[in-house]
Amino acid sequence: MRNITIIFVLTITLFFLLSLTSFAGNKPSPDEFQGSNNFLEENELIQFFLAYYDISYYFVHNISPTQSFIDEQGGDIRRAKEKLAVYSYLVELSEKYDGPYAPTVVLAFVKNKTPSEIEEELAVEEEYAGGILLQPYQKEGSKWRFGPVLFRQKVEDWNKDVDDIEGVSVSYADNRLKENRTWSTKGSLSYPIQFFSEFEGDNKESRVSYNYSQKAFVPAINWKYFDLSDDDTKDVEELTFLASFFSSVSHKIDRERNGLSSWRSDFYLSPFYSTDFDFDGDIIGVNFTYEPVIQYGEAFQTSSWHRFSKSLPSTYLFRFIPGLSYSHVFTEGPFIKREENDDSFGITTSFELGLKPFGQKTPWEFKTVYNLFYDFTGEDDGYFNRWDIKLSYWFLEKTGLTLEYTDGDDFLKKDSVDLVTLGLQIRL
Amino acid sequence: MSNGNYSSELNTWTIEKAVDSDYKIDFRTVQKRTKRMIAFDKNLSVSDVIVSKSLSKDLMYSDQDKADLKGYIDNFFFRDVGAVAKVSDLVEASTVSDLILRIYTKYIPDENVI
Repeated sequence: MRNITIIFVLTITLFFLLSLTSFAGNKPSPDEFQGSNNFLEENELIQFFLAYYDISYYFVHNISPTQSFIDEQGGDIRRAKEKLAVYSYLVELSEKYDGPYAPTVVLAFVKNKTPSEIEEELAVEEEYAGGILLQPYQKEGSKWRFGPVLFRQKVEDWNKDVDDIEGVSVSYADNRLKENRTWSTKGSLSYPIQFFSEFEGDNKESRVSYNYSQKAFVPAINWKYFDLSDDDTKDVEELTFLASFFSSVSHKIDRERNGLSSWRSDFYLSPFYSTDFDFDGDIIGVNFTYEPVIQYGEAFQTSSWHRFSKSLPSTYLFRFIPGLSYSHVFTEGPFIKREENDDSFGITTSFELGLKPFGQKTPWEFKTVYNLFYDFTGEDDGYFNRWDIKLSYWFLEKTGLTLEYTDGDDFLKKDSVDLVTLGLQIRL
Repeated sequence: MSNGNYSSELNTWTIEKAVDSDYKIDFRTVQKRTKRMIAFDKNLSVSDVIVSKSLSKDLMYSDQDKADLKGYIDNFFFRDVGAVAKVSDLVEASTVSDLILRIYTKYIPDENVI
């Protein structure tokens, strides 16, 4: 009963978060910003561009206009900042079309179409929304940045673009013939604290690569929950508290010699405490992972969605994440198939392959992930593996419907998993 | 960065500095030069570089590619106005518009902008 309460609260929270993203209307329309005449004046254009391109208050606030620019705006600092935030759009609009600007012309500009095409498509609505939950906080001149709160499926995705990650999944099924119900949710809540190190540019040659590095502390809570109302033996519960340390280093490369365009290394060291929702079992441990983020020419890139070529809209995602994992069972629990004081230490590897066959900004997405764990301390065959296969349809930018099949082993609890779920996926 | 022939582009900026050492730059010119820089870097036509484009998704910039723009900004396209780009800031630029704004408000000294 307590579990159901937790899941209920979690679900309500998720739907509350979801409600903060904008569903209706999606992208604003220029005619919502026009004044009494049929055209958009400069100030109306500024407000429209700010809204259309989802430019946050945080972004605008951090712009530092020169005094002369502020003076040009009649001494109004806020207007100067807002204008600067969208100035490039105003300039490009004026280069493309002569004013005054009717809403159709402005819409044609932002959609990179002709006004006549827009007039034909007036009934068409933009599909995606772009709600923002919390803004990151960074004091001016500070090397530290705090937040925002992130909801993702894996804590390692905290610094990736929303397009490149998987979100929190929630599903519920009611089998009325067999009179059983199934709840399922999986995700991660994290709050990154980033530190930007001093950056080096070692000489004045234009084609020299510059080194930079980034570090972060990412406290997070991961959860995994599957509850079948009439058979507790098939339930899955996992609640993990992590204190992840992240370090990213960009490597200097000789492009002329080896053809690599860029190479960055992302490292994670994640001590964790894992239990279930009733805090019955206790496992502590530490994971170490390494992810190479490389680009080879323009055709191959790892760790983010990338087009096969400029002429093809299809995009792919490839990730390779090797690592090491250690864990120790302090207390046995109902969801842990390991004995008390059992130690486990081994190599982990994850291969992820994704495909968006119709292009980056289209809703269909296919992913397959193969996870491997070789346990050095295992008595028998130390190999454990798991397949995750997912088909998602993102009907909003941050909300999608996902059909997922998981088959294999849970590495931490050494329990078998064979699950098919259909549910919502939310990424913030 | 691409391996195109950039000599004519670079000469333009060198001459500009030699002719007028007190040159001040306006936003429109920063925008024009930034677009030319990206077009040159990615071997594109300037008309293909529109300000709303995402540097990573549309123009295929990796973080390292963005970091390497520092060389072009400091030494060629904005050398005449004393620009000094911060690599940590450059890698944060998300769109062409964002990059233009960073160059105009952060990398070029205030006394050199109009």
